[in-house]
Amino acid sequence: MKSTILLPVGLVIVCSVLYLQQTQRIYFNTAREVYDGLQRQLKALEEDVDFLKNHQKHINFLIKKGWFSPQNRLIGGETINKWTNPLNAVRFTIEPETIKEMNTGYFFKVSRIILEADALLDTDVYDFVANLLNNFPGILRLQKLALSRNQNVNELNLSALRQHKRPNFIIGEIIMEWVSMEGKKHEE
Amino acid sequence: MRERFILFLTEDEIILHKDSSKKVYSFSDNLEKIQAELKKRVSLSPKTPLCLFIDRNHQDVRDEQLPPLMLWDRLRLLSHKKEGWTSQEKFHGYQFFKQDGKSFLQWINITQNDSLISWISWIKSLSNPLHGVFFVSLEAEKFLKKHFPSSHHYQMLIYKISSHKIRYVIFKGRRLLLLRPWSGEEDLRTSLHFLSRLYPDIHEKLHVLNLLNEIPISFPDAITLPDPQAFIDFLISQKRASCALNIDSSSQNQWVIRGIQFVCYSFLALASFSVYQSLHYQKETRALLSKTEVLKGRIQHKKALLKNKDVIQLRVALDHYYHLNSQMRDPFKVLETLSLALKKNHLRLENLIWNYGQTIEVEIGFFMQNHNESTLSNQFYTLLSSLSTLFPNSHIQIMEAPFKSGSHETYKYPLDLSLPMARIRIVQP
Repeated sequence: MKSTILLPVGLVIVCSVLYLQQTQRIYFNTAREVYDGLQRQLKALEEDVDFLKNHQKHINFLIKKGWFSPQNRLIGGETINKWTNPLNAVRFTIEPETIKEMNTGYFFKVSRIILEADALLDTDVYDFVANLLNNFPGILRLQKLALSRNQNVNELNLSALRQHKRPNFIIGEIIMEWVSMEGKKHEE
Repeated sequence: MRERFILFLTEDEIILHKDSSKKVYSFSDNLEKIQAELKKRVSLSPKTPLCLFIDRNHQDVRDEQLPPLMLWDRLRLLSHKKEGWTSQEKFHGYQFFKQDGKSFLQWINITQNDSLISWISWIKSLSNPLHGVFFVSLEAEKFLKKHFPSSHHYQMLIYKISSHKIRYVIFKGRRLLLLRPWSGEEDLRTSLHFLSRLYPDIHEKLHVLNLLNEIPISFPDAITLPDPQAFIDFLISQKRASCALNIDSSSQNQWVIRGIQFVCYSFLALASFSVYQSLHYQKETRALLSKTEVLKGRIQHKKALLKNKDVIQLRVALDHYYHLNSQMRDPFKVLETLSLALKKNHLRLENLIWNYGQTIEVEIGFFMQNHNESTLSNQFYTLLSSLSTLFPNSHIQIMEAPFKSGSHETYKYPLDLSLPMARIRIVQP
């Protein structure tokens, strides 16, 4: 009699305990998954913080250079005109942009700038180039710098001398590549 | 309390108790007649269990001190003992106990030719289930413990189950030292004298419990209970025998019970393991949750540090910037180096081309003056030496020499009035 009661009672107890064990295991696995996910997130965030800390100098430099700000050729033209002071005259052409895509989905704009400069001295051209490289928005990569002395004395130079103006003894040709950040490609 | 038949079996009587009724059968009658009468009585309630209490002069209970053994060795010893018992005896029971730091094995054996065998066989033939075989002498230890709860000394009980025989039993703790029929205090003193050879302190530490008022005891600490029925009432109330015999109503039942016991123990083991695992998981989950809270706090802190910062964009921008930077070349360094050579050789440039494609190419054009103190070729050679020193890893090409002596050039003598032109290209890797 006792056994007939004990067996089903025992079975019920064992089933209850097994159910309890399964439930606790599921809770544990869920908690484990959450914990692992948070650990991964924390690791990624720590890497980001370390990255910012280690590269703060260069990031600040790029921010100062306007790398992350939207740029256009009007701003570029304004900047060239702003630094033409040592030269007698400047003519420049900014070629159409080509878009360069990175693997990460970000885009960069690349434009060629061709400048022609008239100056009295070659140092005037050097100063102009140095100012542009330091202050132009985005990054400028110098590709060509050609200077030549005017071989012949022409009417324009003589006129300039008569009017006590600076004659164009030096003619410069400068070719640069202008790179700036476009942003992230938007999902269609 | 559940109703039971209690059968006291002594040498001269058999007494049947049920509830408050009592029936005494004397062995002076025919045994078969007694058994028939008993069967008739108990058959009236065939489902009522029956308990057998044995009280006789024969000292059925024995004990033996064991050496200190590990569990495995103890089981082996027990196995050997059992082999011995089963070869000689019909029924046996045993128990282990510890006393005064020593281990003891206490056992009961009933041999094949013991008169008890016929009684047990007869009881087994009854339809009433047998609920244990009790030895009165052994159960007396529990009764004594009830009255001398804190005593670890020698205890003695004087009792009477049958209407004729008085017995006394002496224990040391749980060990049964002596069981004898009472035949006067002188006999008891003699017994104690013999026991004192093995237990010298028995005289000083003996507690005596007397259930019989008619027997005067001269022991100083002897207690006489007012109710002589107290011991019998105590025995009747016992549910389990101190030392159970291997008697069962049927072997089939035994196997079923063993099977059920095995299943129950398996359930118990499984349930225990599951509970342990559940508790373990619960503990681990709690630990994880507390760690998760700490992680969340740290993540919030880091997120606050990275607020309004698109780190992926910064990473891409910096990577590309480093790539561009590695491709950029400073023209002014080359020009500074070049100016050293030009100054040294008193030259002025007519044109300069700095071009950066796969390599850096610098092309210079200049006029050379014909000094009296040095020939043109010497001057040109000195310039080339200076350039190769200043640009050690570069390739220096003469595009146009000032001599006009090449096979493709027009050579005039005397020379033109205009200064000779020279052009040099420096290619840097």
